[in-house]
Amino acid sequence: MKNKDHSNMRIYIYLTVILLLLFVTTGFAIALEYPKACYEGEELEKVRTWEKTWAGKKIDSSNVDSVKEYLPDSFYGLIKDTNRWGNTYFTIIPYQTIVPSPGIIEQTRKNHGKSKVGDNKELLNYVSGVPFPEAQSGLEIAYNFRTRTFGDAYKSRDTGHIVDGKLKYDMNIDLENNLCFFAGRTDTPPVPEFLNNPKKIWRAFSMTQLAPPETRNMRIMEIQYKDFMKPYDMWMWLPAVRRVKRRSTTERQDSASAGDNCGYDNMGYDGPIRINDYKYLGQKEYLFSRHNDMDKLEHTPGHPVWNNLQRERVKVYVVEVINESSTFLYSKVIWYLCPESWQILYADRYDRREKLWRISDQVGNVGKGHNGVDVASFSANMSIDIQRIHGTLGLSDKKYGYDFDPNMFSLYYLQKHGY
Amino acid sequence: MRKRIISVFVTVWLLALAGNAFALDLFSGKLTVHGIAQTTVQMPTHKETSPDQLHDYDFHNIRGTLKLETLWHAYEGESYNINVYSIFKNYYDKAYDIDSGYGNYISDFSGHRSLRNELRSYTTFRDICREFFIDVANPLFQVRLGKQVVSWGETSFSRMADIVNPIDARGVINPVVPDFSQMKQGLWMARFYYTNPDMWQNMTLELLIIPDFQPTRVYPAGHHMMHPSAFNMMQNPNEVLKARYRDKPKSWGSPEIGFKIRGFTGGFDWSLQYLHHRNDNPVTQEGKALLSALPALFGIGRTEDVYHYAWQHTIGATFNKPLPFDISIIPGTSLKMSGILFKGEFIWEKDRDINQTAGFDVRVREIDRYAGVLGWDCKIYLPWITPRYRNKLLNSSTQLFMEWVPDRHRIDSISPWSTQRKKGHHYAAVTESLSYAFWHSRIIPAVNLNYNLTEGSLQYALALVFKPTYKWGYSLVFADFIEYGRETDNGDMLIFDITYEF
Repeated sequence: MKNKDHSNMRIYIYLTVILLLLFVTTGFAIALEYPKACYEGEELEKVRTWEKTWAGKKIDSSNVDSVKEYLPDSFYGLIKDTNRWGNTYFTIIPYQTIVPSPGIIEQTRKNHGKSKVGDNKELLNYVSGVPFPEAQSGLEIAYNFRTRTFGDAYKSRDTGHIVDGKLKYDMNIDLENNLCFFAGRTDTPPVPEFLNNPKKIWRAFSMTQLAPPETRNMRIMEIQYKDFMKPYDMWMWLPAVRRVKRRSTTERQDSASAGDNCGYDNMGYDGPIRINDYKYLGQKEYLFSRHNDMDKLEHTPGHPVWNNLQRERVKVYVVEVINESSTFLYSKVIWYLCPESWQILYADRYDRREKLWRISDQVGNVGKGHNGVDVASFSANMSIDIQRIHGTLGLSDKKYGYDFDPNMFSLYYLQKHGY
Repeated sequence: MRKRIISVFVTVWLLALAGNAFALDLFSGKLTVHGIAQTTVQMPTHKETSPDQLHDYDFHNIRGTLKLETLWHAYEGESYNINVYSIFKNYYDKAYDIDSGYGNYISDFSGHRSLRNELRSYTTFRDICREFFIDVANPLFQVRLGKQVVSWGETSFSRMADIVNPIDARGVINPVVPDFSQMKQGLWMARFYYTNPDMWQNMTLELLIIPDFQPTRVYPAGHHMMHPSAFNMMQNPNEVLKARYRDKPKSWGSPEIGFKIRGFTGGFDWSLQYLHHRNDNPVTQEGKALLSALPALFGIGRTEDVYHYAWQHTIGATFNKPLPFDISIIPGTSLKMSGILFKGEFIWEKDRDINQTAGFDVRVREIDRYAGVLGWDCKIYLPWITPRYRNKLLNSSTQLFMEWVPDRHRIDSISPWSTQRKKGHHYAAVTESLSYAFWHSRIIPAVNLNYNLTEGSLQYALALVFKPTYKWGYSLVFADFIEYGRETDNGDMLIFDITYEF
């Protein structure tokens, strides 16, 4: 009888501990308000009221003053100055909430509180999902941007125009991209990481250049590691010399040959987060592209700006980014980040003389990934050299949630497919 | 007639392709064709050509070149792929027709038209077909069968570990900046890869079986870079060189064999390689030195059975490693190197046959040769210039080339890739390539320097490239030789080139 009492007592203790754990866990889940929409309640009502007047309207130099408060000064000036930039216009569409995929929501909640920022501004203990869903600083916002996974993998065909706005002509490029996340996965099995990942790869990228002719069949492969302090590796297959050549990845600020970007500028920003200082400047409403229909984009040869972008009101995070190096190509960059997808939607980039040099517009869209989940990403972009009237316009047709063989991101694969 | 056919062919191609960027992806991308059409004019700039060359003239080359590259994705399955790849290239040189001075010189020099034909264009399928192979690949294996160019090694300026294919100098206009991708002759071979993704240290294995053998193809006698004044005494100097090709051995019964292991360890890319092969440059057989020169001297008879292509072993190793930090060039300033890639390659030529000059005759002996090159590629931040011009950095590639032949005697002749000095066991050279890009990379100035540390001689090339569009490019190059000796120093040249790519 006594033993039975002891046994019951043990069961009560176990149950109490389990209940406490459940309470604590549930308590955290309740405390984490994720996902959170840009606009809710009264704010959303105000936006809808404003949209009754403006949604569907084409905005050009004749009426841009009416929406000036919702445009970055750099872009407003570009539309207004038709002598310099020609006729640029866009269309306003209603705000639509971007709801993260079920996998992102689950991983963000499950891993909430684990991610930390180390002494060297590196991300520690990151597993998957949004590392800092309640970001309080520019650095945390930057890591939320950096850890997006685009449906865990995508294959894209990218075409582009390098446009000389003074001489009024284009040079065209065409390439195929593959991006695959080995870790930090959310929706495409296996989640959150490939079972066999001995090199501790975070993400791998490969590219095949199809045009221009001088770089045809050039291939690039880039491997980034889960250790955010470790430099990543890069190799290129150069058809001209029939050789796989290693390339340093610490140098990414040399301007791309004829284009208006450098290695750091890809996807809004593509480099280690820890090399910059970040200052959160607050939230502000702008008209940016997040649900763009790429078929509606218009381009006239010689005009270095995409026309007919579809823009919606969104309350973005504004972050000032300054590189630690005094010789970095930009003295300052202002990021405008979507609080729902964490994508950099727009950036103002200043030269070393602190004059506005380039603007970058990441033209967002929402595609379908594995099992039809929504994937917030971008389908086009433009990087415009304000000083030289020159632009690089890209169009990206992405297939998200692509099932890659991880072995294709290897040196031998590069050699094997090099001609 | 043949000229007309070639001209019509080139014109039709250019007209068909101009203005259509994607015309060359045929059959839904299954067949892609990439091509280059090029016109090149080369002029001598050194005015001491006469009387050594008997005639004076203004042009070395007025050349049209067409190169076509095709890739056919013949089969793409889940377990394996089959691709067929080819490169065909030919040129036609009009310098001898347009500049009668050069034409007369060639006629005098050769005594007949064969030399003119040799300098004018490729005439055989072997020369025109640079590569042609079938490729079968699955995740574990890859097999390439056919005529191929293999690129081993890391560096580019001084050819060292890149030893598989022989050189063909005839297609090269600018010898100061040798483009080995254009110079290498394809060889018929079988190439096997084993690419198990789970291999230790990410290793891949490569095996070559090369039944084809071709000797190094040098410039024909009479070419401005193959013009020692001693040739003027000969009735038919090209006969000296033709014998090299007549004495080519039958090779299909005794193929060359090589292998390479490539790996990735601790951030280092590395490779080890071995090739059992014939040297691409012949040695004169003992007792046949005089015999090799007589037909050329008197213009009578045919030189044959005087050269020998000897077997040897070549063992090599390469590495590369990016350095993840910047290095200041002048401390306290922003002049600095970044994006540094440190690389190197080393070879040991074992049991290599060479000639010793012994009076009017030669002897053959074996030596071992060791050579290495260290390379340093980086980008350089230029204060004031870089931030002013779109943050473009200066591209720099530096290489230190060294070799050592411990058993070398003063009368040993080791050519062409080894000790160039008349005496001594050691040779060293340093090369430097710099380039910069202005106006959204439409204007690219570049310089290449090659300074021989042991001899004190220098060759350099200054280039200016203009690329207004991706398809069209124009370049102007000045190449200069200093302290190489009178005959080579006379080779200074100006090269103008127009290129159309599709």
